[in-house]
Amino acid sequence: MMLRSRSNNAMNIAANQPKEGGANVHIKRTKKPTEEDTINEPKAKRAALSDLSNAISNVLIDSTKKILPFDKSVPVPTRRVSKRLSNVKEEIKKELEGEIAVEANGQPVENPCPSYNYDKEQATDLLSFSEFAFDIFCYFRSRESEFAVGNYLKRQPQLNHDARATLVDWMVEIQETFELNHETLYLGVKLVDIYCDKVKVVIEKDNLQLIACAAMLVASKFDERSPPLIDDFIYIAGQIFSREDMMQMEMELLDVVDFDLGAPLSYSYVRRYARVTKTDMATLTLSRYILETSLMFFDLNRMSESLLASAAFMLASSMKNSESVAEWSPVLHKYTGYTRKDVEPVMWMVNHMMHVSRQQKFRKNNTVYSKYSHEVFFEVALTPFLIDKFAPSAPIQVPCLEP
Amino acid sequence: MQKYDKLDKIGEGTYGMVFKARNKETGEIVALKRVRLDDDDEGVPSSALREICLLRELKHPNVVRLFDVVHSEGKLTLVFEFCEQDLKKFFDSMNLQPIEPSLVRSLMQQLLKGLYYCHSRHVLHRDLKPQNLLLDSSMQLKLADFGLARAFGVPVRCYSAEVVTLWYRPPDVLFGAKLYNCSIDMWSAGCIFAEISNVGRPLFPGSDVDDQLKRIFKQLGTPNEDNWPAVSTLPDYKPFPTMHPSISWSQIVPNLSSLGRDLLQKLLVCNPAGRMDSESALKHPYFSAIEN
Repeated sequence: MMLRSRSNNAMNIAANQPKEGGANVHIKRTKKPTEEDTINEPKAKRAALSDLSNAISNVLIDSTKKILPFDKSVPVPTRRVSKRLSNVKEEIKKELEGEIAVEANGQPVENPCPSYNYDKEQATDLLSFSEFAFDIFCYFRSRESEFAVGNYLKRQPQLNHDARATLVDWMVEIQETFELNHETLYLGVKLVDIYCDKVKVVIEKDNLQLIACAAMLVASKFDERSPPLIDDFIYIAGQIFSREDMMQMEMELLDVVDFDLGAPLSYSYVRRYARVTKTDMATLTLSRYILETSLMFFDLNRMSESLLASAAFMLASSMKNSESVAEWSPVLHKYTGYTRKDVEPVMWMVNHMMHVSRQQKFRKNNTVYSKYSHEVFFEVALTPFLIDKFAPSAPIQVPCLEP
Repeated sequence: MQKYDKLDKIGEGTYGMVFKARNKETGEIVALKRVRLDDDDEGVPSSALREICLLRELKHPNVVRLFDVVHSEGKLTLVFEFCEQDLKKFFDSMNLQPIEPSLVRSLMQQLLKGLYYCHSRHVLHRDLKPQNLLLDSSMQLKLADFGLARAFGVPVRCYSAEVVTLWYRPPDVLFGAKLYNCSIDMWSAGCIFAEISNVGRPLFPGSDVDDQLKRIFKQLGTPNEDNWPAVSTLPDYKPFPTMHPSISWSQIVPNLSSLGRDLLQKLLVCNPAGRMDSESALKHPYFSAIEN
């Protein structure tokens, strides 16, 4: 049974009660990786639905099975990026002419690449927003610290890294099933984290799926042309909550996050970095696979979105570069605001994270891996990682930036 | 909502009624916009959700201020700064007396400043019209009603073509374009500029999409593949008879100076790629030259 067609909002799927044992819902993976990059990026071939070997055949998730018990053995790393960018709004917002790059510590530096101005080159391209692109990315940077997520796993006795990872894995399924934009997924995950960080009450493990659905609903309303219906979420969650629960949670979530939905997303940054360096679609897709995997790793996911995007981009370029660390060009320095010294330590940790994500104990959270193993996504998940610089059991934590 | 004494109903926004009210403690006059949350609906309407979340980030003298959002008893109340009137009501109050050229210029400049601010914060308004431009007692103009606004990505994705009130809708969107950028607001700004200088006479008051396009092409000439490449590939494109501009701009907007007319023509360009952006428009000599 297919979920309702997204163009047919009026159809009420609640009428189609899921049968015992679950109805098969095809994960739709027919869209090319970047519907939004309509013009400039190559079109991937349409894949037959039956072709999806790894697709999850049953989206009814049993919450007792999916959400794992609190595991005290999971190490809780505490170090995180503490760079604050909020005071540098004005410094970093400069005219496109004579623009400056911004060092990771927020100090303006000399333009590392004054001869190249991507946005000026694109000035005749209607969709690249050349006249505002640089300003907008400076604005994103200035807001990153406002969306910093504290280590709520320490304070919430019922939650742990494992439960969060499983929840994010399920949110990726929701994104695929409802054919939502990737921005919606990233924003949804961010909203779950901010909510869990700011809420004053103890979060029940059994409520995580409701929180995730409310977050995806809010993110969809913010970004999608036709957001899924509340009934769609109730259905995909196996009717473990009611309409009233969902509406109440939506309002509570909006209250707790204070209606601030403009979180800068690593996904937006990495596309920008690929475009200014005219990088091929396969490398961009590989970067996206890395970033989407990172959504499941709480401590990495709490760092600066632009630095994480830079590290994912450097790792993807290096993996494509047959395992030698790719060059960090002046163009990348200019458009990311980071030097190679800033990015490389993070890249090695992200590489370690990718190794860990393929370890036996993480195999249950397989959705991102199987999604990016598909030819629609250039089978990027099959690309070998760099050699891990860390022991397999080493914790995944954010390396300190150079002062 | 005990904090406010409700006074008069002011009007109806995209998704709810708007009231004038007084803050009981401070005496401050505000505008309250009410959003009902019904059980059989889809929760918070996305138009309200976007308006709240976009406006809470926008703080500029030419954008209406959202002071607070109150959630109580199954409804949301948005608390806005109160403005005496909107541009439409101001036109009506003028009784066709001409508006001082310096005031025309000031209003247009404020509109562009508000737009530039929104665009540089990745927000498209998508419903500019005189009713949505508020004026306070000192003729400060403020962009309001962000119910159709949205944040855009870089680069943009496809968005809804069901945006902008017909008279202020650009030809690309009239042809069904779903990929657009800030240029969508710049066309509306051009239409409003002409309307201000003509004391409220709309520039292109079409009755339907066809009539709207005919009126536009009559004044600007029918676009073709030479001056607007790929125009015929737009979703709802249909050929129109070739028309050449026959009426001069000095007849259409007799109260505008030649510099004003020059700015207007740079905004009213059918091909969105050729339309002037808000930053360049603010640098136009119309705003700096000392005329007469």
